[in-house]
Amino acid sequence: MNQMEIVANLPPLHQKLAVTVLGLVAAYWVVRQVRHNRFHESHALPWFLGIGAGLLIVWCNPLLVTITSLMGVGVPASALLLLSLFFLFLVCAWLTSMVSGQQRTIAKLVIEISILKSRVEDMAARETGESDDR
Amino acid sequence: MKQKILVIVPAYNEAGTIGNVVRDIREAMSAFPADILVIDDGSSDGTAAEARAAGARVISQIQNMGYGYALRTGYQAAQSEGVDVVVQMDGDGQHAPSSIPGLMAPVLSGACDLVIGSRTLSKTHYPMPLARRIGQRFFSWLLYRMGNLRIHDATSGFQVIGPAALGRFVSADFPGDYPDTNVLLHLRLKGIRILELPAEFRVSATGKSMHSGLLKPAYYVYSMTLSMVMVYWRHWMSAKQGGRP
Repeated sequence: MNQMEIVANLPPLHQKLAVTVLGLVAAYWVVRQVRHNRFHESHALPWFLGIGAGLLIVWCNPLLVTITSLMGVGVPASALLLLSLFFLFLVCAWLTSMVSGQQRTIAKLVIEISILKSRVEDMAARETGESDDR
Repeated sequence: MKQKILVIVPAYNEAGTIGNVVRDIREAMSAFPADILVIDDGSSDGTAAEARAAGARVISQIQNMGYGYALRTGYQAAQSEGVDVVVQMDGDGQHAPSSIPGLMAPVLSGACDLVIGSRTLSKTHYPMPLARRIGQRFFSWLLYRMGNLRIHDATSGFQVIGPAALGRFVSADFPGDYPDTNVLLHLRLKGIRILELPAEFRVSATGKSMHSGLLKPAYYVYSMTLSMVMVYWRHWMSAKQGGRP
């Protein structure tokens, strides 16, 4: 598909408005999650960036045409769908790395706490033994 | 100078077995000033109480973390207590404590840093399912190809660890789930001297294995192979960048 055909297939205004409303609803939902402490601020960042990038691409026709042409897909709407999937993939990959990091930290803490707990129990047992001797 | 020895025994739901294991270790180690430390990996039965009653010290993990992390707790405790030599054996009674003095001798004399108790070199026949034998051969072959180290029983958890090797066991890159051949490769590439000696193995009293079922062995093969490739790759990159091998 050449550049002219891509331009001819650009999403009409009502579709752009629908995507914008969806983006704003998603952004509001993320803000609510942060406000209720369900999302950490740093975890909300990729969602805001993703929504912002999505809106920018939808409203900036030259950018959408370039991306559609670069990706080799037929129509700009398909390019938007592929970009959304790619964004979700990035978020999943990022979350996987975070979960792995958290798992390592938890394991380290479990080890430290288990060792300390056994020391405290040993000390308590020794103290009980000493007071019984007295 | 007398060396401080610690026997670490990771155990998960081994009530009914662990008491005898601890008593057997005490008997076998009567000539050595050794402590026995059982790492109770969040058992739901009376493993900790039974081990304590048999005369072992116990560290109870606050939750079940798996074999590798239980071992890591033991290594960390050993290092913080200034232990020189660690004997590592399973809590299900598979590893015969009578083999410990023979395995410890080369480490105590300084002839090597790590000794692996081998069921393959042992004269006593140890029955192993075909799939596990194939797995054992495969990982031994991989270890030889990547680390030029010929170990017949590369998946044995019966080991004696000397001071030079112990420091490597508490490093951040120690694998958490299944520390076996990947650790041997890591140690070999770091210049640790490893020796394999025959040891007596017994069939587990409970007949259980942590590699039973279909999915667990498949995951083990995947995880171990990937881990070994990563160990080799990190070493290769480090050598390429002029870092210490």
